[in-house]
Amino acid sequence: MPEGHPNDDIELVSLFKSNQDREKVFTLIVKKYQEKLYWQIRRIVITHEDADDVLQNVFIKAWNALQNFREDARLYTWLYRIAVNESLSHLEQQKRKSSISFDLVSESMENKLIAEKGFDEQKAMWKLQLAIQQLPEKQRIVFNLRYFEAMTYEDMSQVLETSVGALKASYHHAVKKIEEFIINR
Amino acid sequence: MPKSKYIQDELLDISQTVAELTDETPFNTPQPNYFEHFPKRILERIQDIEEDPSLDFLGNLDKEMPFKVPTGYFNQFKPVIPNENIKSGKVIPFRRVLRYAIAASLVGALTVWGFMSDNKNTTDSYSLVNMEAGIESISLDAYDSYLNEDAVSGIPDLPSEESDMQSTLLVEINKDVIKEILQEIPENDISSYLNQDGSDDIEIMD
Repeated sequence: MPEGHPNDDIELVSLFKSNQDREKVFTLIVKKYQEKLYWQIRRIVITHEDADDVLQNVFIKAWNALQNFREDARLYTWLYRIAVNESLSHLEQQKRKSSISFDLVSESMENKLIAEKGFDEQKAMWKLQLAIQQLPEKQRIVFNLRYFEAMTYEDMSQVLETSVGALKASYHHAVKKIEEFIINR
Repeated sequence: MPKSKYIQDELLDISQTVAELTDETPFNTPQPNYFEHFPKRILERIQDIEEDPSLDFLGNLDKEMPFKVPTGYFNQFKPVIPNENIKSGKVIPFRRVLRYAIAASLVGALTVWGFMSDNKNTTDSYSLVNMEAGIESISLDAYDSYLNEDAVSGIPDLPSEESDMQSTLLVEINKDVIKEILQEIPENDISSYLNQDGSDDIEIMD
């Protein structure tokens, strides 16, 4: 489970705010969360280049805002929230640049998947990725956080600012749609 | 990496098919040492941005505003608190007004149509065809009597023979004549007439 130890995070944030070796402390935070955040972003934006851009933006934002980070908040969910928002902003920018509709965005994401190295539609894991791309944006993120990150609904509720009930319903719908896609494809 | 048990149990409740899928990510991993070098790269970029803030394009976009605010605007700004006594006007959506207008028009149209059709029925009952049929069914005697009645009723009432006599008596009989008549009647007869009580009248009446 990718949940950070709360005490460690509180200590790291406290050290960062005290201006003692900020870069060193920040490096520890980056090392701790970079890989988990990278894969979460990669599943949304698909390509490594896009994921790299988004990940850098996430940590730059975190650096700028960490000084004002609330003590009662959790670093883990806060970073995930920035990552999800930055990923969606990135997709939105791409959509605006190309002026394409939602259906075409879905198609475009599917094309990106197909262009990935080692893509094989016959393999279940690629088929699952194709199915995920058919989901609406919110359901896609909920499914990724739950299925791949095993995030609790309570944590997800903080990340997405949505009620636990709505998230459970969203996950249920996502799984059903994926099942339908897998069976009919 | 196997799925967590609680995730797997939840999936089994929703879909056996999806529960059987792997949770492996098929994407190729980034170049070797990507994660090792990433913290250094990000710190270098942060350092560059701090030395030259214009490099933080997205960050600047969030903060910079192209609009100018007049000097001291916010110091002088006083919020206008609405008076509670003044009832704010209710905003009625145009669609709702349009709906009521259409409904009223329909009701009006139906009412006019109903009124007209009712009048039409009345007119039909007095149509020429009906009148002609009615006239044919009346006998000539009835027609004559109707015309005579109508002619008589159109002239002021003439005095009848009986009423004529009464009026003549009332005019011609005066006191002297009455005295002469009374003198001719014996006094006994008069007194007996006057002494008669109402019972006799009743008997006569019966």
